[in-house]
Amino acid sequence: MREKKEIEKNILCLGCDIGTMHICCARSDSDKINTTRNVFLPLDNDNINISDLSDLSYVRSEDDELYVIGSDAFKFANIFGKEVSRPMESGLISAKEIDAIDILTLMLKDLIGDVKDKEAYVSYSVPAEAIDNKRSVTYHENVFGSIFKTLGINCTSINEAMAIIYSECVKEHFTGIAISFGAGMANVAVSYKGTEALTFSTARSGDWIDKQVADSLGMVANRVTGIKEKYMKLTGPIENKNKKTKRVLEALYYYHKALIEYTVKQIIKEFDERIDIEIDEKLPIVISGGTSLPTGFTKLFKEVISGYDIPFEISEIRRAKNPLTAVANGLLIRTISDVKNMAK
Amino acid sequence: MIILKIKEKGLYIEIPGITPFRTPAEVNITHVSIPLVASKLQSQGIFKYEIISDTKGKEKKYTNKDFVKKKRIENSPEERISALENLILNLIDKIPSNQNNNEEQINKKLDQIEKLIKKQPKQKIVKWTPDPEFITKDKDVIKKNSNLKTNPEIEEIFIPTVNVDVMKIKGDSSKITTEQDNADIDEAADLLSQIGKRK
Repeated sequence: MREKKEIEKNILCLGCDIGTMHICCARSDSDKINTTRNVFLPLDNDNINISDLSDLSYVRSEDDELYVIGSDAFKFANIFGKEVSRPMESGLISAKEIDAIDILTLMLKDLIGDVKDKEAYVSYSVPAEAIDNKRSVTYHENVFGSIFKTLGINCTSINEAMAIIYSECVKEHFTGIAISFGAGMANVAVSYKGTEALTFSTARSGDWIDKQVADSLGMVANRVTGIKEKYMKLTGPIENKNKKTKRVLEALYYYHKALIEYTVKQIIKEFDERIDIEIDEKLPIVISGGTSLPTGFTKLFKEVISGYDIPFEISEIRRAKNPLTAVANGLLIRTISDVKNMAK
Repeated sequence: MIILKIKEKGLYIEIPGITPFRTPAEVNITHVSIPLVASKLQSQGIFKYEIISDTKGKEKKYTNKDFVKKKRIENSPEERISALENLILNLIDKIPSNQNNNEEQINKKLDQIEKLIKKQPKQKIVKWTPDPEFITKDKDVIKKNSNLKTNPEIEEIFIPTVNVDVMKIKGDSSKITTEQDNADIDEAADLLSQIGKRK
């Protein structure tokens, strides 16, 4: 446990990464980052006994509706071949799921833990406006602002990819390019000495890959996600002997490559159109997010980008230390920094 | 089961008996009366929706058109006056010429005409003039009276309030915990704070 100025003053700093597939929370008074899957599964209560749920995390609503939440919902859905409900889609709060906000609030409350008697501050992640999707982030940003206020926490929204810069580009004094390949979106930030020079997102990332593969092979998308997370490698031969799994892994490779190609093209286009300043320094590219987890993703990214004429010089392409928690980590850094500046 | 489907995006809908929801949505309204749902939607200005009732495999679809009251076709006041004038002329034409001097007969007809006129709507036909609170200039409407009450912020209205006191979360099996290096975090926050101050 840390003994910092914030704790002496009874101030608690938090970093909350609210992703399409995972929610992740880092606290200034803990050495641990908590993560859960941002999914739920409504259950038919007529066929379920509460004793059947003893090992699972679930939510019981006012109307006695039951929802299995987090990783348990995902496992449960895969066993029974069902689609999980997603509180978010394409990086933003879902318009389809009526219960999404209430369930998200409970999941966040549970993940953050106790904030009682503390002056709590949180930076939470928001995506940049997508260049290939018309959905605005305003509603999403305000809904989460409202949720944190309900939980009694002072909040600020921070661009998701900028959070990766705070977490992973310390040695470059927060200069670099961060790409967060999440589930719903790919978020990109170009930062110069901690200042946003360019941020944008594309609506293609992990979910897009899973949907394309599922459509191509006539499967349920979360079954594809399951196979991807269990067996996917982007280097070397496919070792799995099951013919169907092999087909899925082949298709996954093609779509991973297509996703990287698409993102690189968008970076070049946006850099050419929107960056006015001359950056003399070579820029590191940091790759993060759950979709970048398969072995060989960074190598494949390097191979793809080497085929393009890039409008800036690259010093290094590296993966975040922990692609799943880098955003939460960066958000916590930003909260602590803001609180320190506020105190002075 | 009866399902209400609304495809239009961004509407916040409140119907008694079901939790308020945001569209696009598919909502189970089995426990609410269909006419009530239709009238609530109509009162909120929502006309594009479908109500699908699936009872014992028989599917029935209702739309706004099924609940619209058929209005009596009413002519404009000008048309009604014109019709009345024709009626009076017809009545006068029907008075036989040999009864011209029969005062009683004429008075009787005039009484009928008066009754007809009294039955006409009391609505006045007036020339439309713009609302004095607004003046128009180059197609833009400019509010003249600044003391008019302003509406609450639109954002405030549309951001849903969250109340999870009635919901309970059970179990703790979904969380994954990862270790982090707090010394690195503090150093990074110090550096970011210093860079922030220099700007």
